[in-house]
Amino acid sequence: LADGLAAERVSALALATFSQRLFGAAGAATEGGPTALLRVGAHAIRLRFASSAAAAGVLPAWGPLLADGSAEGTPLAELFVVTSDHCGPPPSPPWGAQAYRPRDEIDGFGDASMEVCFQLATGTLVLWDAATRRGVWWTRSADAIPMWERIMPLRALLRWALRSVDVALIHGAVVGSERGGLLLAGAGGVGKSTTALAAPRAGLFTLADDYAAVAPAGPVASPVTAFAKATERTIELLPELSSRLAPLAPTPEGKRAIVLDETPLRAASSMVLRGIVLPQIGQRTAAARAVPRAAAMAALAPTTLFQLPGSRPADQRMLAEITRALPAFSLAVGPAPDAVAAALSDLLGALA
Amino acid sequence: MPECLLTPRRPAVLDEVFDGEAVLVNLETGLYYALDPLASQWWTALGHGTTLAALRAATIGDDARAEPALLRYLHRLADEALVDVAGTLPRAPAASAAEQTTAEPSLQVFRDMEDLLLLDPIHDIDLDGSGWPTASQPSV
Repeated sequence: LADGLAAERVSALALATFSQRLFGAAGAATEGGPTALLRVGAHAIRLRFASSAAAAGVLPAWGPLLADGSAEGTPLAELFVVTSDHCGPPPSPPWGAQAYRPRDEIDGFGDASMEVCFQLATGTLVLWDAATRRGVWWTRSADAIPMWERIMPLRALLRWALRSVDVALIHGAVVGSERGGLLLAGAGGVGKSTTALAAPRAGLFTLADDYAAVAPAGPVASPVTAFAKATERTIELLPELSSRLAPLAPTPEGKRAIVLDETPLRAASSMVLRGIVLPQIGQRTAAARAVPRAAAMAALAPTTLFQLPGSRPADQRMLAEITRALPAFSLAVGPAPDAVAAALSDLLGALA
Repeated sequence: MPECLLTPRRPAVLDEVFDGEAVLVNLETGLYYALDPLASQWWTALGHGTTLAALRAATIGDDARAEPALLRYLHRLADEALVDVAGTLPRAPAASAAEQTTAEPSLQVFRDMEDLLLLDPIHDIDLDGSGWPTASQPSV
């Protein structure tokens, strides 16, 4: 036990020393570069880019969520976006070749006070310092930013930054209206995106697809990207999406980026949630059916906790608070989008 | 014989109870579990760690007929790496026909997230001169 604690202290000290050098290098690299202010609900996040190319790699996903320079208050966090092709590689790390772990985690390094991960596929270092609320996202090249990152940028950093103000980044979609919202939860392939993108057929809007920021107090949901993802099958079912395709290549899985309606994203920076819906693909759409909250937690927690690096007890606590605060429903979704949208609208009407 | 101590493997295992039903998530294996009310009650009785004797007293009391079910359950928790066991956990007899009147806790396992870990194994990494992994994998 003593050896373990000593090793933890050594790695924490090494990480702190590394982070000082990293933030120094990131600050120098972004000096005079483009900046932007991202709005996530009531919070603002300052973004500093090393180059226009780096900014162009991620900013399109946040178009309607970007605040103008007159936004009031101190930003929640400051994030540096740097590319090695423009500024050289980050300072050498204090860990070796054996430290790289699943979910991009670094063995023996990182905790809730200073999170770190490395995405091997893209050569991207991500570090978050909770004490100063600053983060670095340092990738090899702006040209090599992958499609999934362009659609939902900086997800690990956003997760850690939002956690510091008691907001969870959840793997799920949100649909709603002025009556409130529904959080659609479940692992990939259960029909979340198709259900969320069908919602406008009944006058609802899609606030978020794939990821959403949810504050347990409320609970209140906010968008973290203006893009959704859709398979070719979803676009066949919802041909109106063809006019909303983003000018991005498909993801490796063949999904296309869809530009969400900007008006509700600008207007509804946060939306009070009324319930959790667990879509399940079926032969036909049926009315939503109440299910135990444990089922909602089982649909929400694993996919959120396993998809992102640096899952901590605080993330679990927030997910549990959100689950306890909301009724949960199972929704069988058939191939007719109008029926799916109507079922969502009916449920929201009954809950609001 | 030294007392057997059973301790939930937090924080590697996350657990929450909703309306008497527990959900467990093992961050190391990618598996997660839905426990029925009896299994949830017995999981909750583990608290932050307890002895087998104390757990027995808190769950089945003097009902010796329920002891095999309790032991089977605890072995299952240990096999799934959901609890740490210090000391010897007595062998759990297989369920017999005579036991069919006693309740058996149910622990439903979900493996759909397991692939996320399997698809991302620990890599053999080559480092470049600056100490960072080389760009050996194509970006997408």
